[in-house]
Amino acid sequence: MSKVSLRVAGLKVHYRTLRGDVKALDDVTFAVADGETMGLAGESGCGKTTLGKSLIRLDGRMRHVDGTVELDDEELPIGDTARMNDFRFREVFIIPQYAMSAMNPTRKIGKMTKELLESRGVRFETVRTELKRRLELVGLAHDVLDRYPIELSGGMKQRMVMVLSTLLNPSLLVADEVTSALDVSTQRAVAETLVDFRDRGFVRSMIVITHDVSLVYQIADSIMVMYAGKLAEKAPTDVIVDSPRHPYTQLLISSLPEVGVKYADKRLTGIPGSPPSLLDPPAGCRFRDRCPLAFDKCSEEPPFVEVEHGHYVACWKA
Amino acid sequence: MRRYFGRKFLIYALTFFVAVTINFMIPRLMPGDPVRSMVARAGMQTPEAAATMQEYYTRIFGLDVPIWQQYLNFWAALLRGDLGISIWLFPQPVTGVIMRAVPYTLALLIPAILLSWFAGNKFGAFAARRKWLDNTILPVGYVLTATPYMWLAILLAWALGIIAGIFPIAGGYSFSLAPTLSWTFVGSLLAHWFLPFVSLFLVFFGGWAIGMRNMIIYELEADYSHYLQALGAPQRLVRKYAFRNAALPQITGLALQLGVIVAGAVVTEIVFSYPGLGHLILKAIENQDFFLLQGAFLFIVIGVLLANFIIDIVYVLVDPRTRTGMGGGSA
Amino acid sequence: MATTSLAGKPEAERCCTVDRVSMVYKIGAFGGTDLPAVRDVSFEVRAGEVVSLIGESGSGKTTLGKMILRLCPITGETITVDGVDISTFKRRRLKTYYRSVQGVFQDPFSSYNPIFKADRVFSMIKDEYFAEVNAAEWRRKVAASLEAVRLSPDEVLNKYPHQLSGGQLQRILIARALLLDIRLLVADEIISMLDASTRIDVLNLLADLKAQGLGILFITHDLSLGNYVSDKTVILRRGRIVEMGAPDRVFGNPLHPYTKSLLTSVPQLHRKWERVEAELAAGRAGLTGRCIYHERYPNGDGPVGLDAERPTLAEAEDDHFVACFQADGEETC
Repeated sequence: MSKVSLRVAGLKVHYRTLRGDVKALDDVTFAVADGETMGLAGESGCGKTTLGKSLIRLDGRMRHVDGTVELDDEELPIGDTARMNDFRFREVFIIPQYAMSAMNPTRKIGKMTKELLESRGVRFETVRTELKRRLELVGLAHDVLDRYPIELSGGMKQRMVMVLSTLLNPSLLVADEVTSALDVSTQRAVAETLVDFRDRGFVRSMIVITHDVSLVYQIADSIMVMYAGKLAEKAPTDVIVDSPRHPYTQLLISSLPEVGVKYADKRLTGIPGSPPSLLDPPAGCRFRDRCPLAFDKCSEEPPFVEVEHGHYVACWKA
Repeated sequence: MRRYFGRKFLIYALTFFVAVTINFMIPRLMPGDPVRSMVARAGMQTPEAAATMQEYYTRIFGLDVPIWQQYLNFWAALLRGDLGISIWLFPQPVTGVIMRAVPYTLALLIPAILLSWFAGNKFGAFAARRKWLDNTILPVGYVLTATPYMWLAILLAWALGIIAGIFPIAGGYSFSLAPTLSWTFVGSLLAHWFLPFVSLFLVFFGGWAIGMRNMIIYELEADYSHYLQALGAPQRLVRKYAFRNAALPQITGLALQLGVIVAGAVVTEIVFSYPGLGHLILKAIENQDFFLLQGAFLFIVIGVLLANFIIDIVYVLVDPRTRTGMGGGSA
Repeated sequence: MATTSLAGKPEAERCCTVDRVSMVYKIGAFGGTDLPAVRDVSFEVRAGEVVSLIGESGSGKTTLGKMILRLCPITGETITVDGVDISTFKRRRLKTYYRSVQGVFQDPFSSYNPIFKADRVFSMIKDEYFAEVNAAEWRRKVAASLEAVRLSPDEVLNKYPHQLSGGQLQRILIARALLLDIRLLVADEIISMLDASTRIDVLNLLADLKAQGLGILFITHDLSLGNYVSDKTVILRRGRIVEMGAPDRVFGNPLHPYTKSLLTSVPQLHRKWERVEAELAAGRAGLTGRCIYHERYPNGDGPVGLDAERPTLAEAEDDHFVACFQADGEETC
């Protein structure tokens, strides 16, 4: 676990809107080790999806402002969409949030796969056996290749996209909310397939983006929590769940109802207030206004520092 | 699949029945009495002769029986392929008159529709790629598609026919020629065909180009396009998929537009005095020729229904999603 | 013995009773295929009680909610609210019915018309039901019901939907329902689109409303949410109830294999999947190869539920009912 696979330093990405730039990612610095599965958790608008997209393909309204991304000691040209093409699919890949509609509805899946591979200069014949082997692995019959996406169920589409995305054994896989549209029982199967893919070496490291902390708790080695475009905390999974240091993480975890917890026995509470607007974020700690522990020093921005081995927190009180 | 087409066929049959019924009613609800105007034109001197003539014509055209009888007779004759006798070109049968006009209309419509559809789609997709093209083409497209057919037709006739004198502006072929299979005659046909064709083509073209441009922008923003781009697929492949998928609604659009298109052709033929169905309809109205009018409408209805049916079949063949829907869906 | 759970309960407590209702959707291009969405479902919601209807997609949970709200026709037997059969209500009677039963749905943003201010939902209620109330009194009434859902009027009145958060919008919809002195609230996935930190506030709100005597049907796909507030849990699978009862019985001692598989699949904090699976396997050790339902009703050979005399659920212990373990109904067990 010592070798670093992904290293992100000082990354800033802005969204252009009519009312000005939304600072969706501000000074994000972290690393993912070789073989590590990192869960990326946070509420909507915290920047987790933007971070995922920054690693593979910025969409039209996103602008890379500052910072670097290195994968296996090679810098990714994330601001340059044409040059990024050399890395996509082969080195880094995303399983998108919209896996249900990710495949062209009017092409048979096999034909689409073939055209896609050949457009990337990979002979279909050379991967055909591997493709079939992996379909079997995720429990799909070979004949899905002769079907149209609409003929597959949600879970099947999700698995098909997973196979397709990892076919060229990328170094880094970004899985963006891959389970949120699925039923509970399929959810678990998909999550476990992700782990299985890593164990088999189809992908080396993974970032699993989700709003559901309990899901990444099941499969990730470490969890990184984001708040309002910044990193709040990163630590090994058990540490984040059992002894979080950042007040936001603490409140977030304690607001989650669990099986067995009843209102009558233990009334949980939410976090009052709402996240600041990222059009013009306040100086200092961005959680300050909602934080029960806030004090004078919080008007200065807390650095994201290692407080224990592998445990990083951005809070003056940590 | 068979069930699907069976159902479709039933719907078309019903539409046909309703269309024919309306077709039968409309001329009879028009003001004026065609037989009387015919008699008046004949210029009979004595009232007795006029009365006899009126009675004779009324019987010939079958107008002396009650309206429901006329309706049944109309269907019976229709099924025999007999559309009655033209009042305007008395005593030629309507079927013959129409059959002479139909080739002209088809020669105008089919190339105009197909070429404008293909060219408009290609062009719209092409324009969506480049900002400057998009900014110039889009307004031009809107102007074209919003142009009334007859206005563009008159403009073209004036510019290329009267001012430049390149193309003739009236008729299906030169008045000095008799229909023969010679190069001069074919050349004359083409020269007369060109202006009505271009005026139809341009208006249709603008509509398709704009439709395609909007559809392809939508498709390029669809999830599957983003996914392909995230996989690093070249723009060529992404665009190919987007074009194919964007063309599907355009096919439906074609089916929906057919009626409007035919109406446009009618007006254009009138402007150029082109001897097709449109021209015939004008003459039939001018002369209160029930049977000719009915016949011409009937041909248009059959044509539009047939074209729609073909489009339905084509759509099922090109879009796998409709086929899945027919099987009851596999969730 | 029509509805299993009704035995011995006083009539007055019952708020809404669903008695053996079914629903079949016609699918395919021309409605050629039947898709049974709800099959022979019976349960009741009492005043001051939260009943969680838990199921995956296609379980029929939303259809049941819609039936109670009369948004789709009721087929099979009956649904009664306060002892009155609701299936035959027409216009006037239906309007009165909506005074006592209201629904809130999953997507707070599409429940509002984005071009009008969010508080228009209140004035629509006024126009429909309280035309005679004067403006000042109405303002007081709205303020009171906003307070009941813990919103301050200054914060939410006179704002457009996009200016409010999902949690606020959902609470406004609940406040709107409260204006009508409702007896039953159908809450269909009302928190699944909200963020974790605001979810719990809406759940707590439901618990407070129940304490004031409101009956709530809480429809969800998330077991951990269904468990937190509910007094009774109903687990649906493909339109059938597979297990029903007090939450600590259903979750603490799941009898039906489907409930067990749900519990082993839902991601939990502090307990990994392997651990949950091992615990449940130990708890169910004595159940392998058995079917509690058919042990109770040994003569039932055919698919469950076709026989009106026979209940669809067997009472395994006090306040804990379970269906045939082969609950698809296609095969016998």
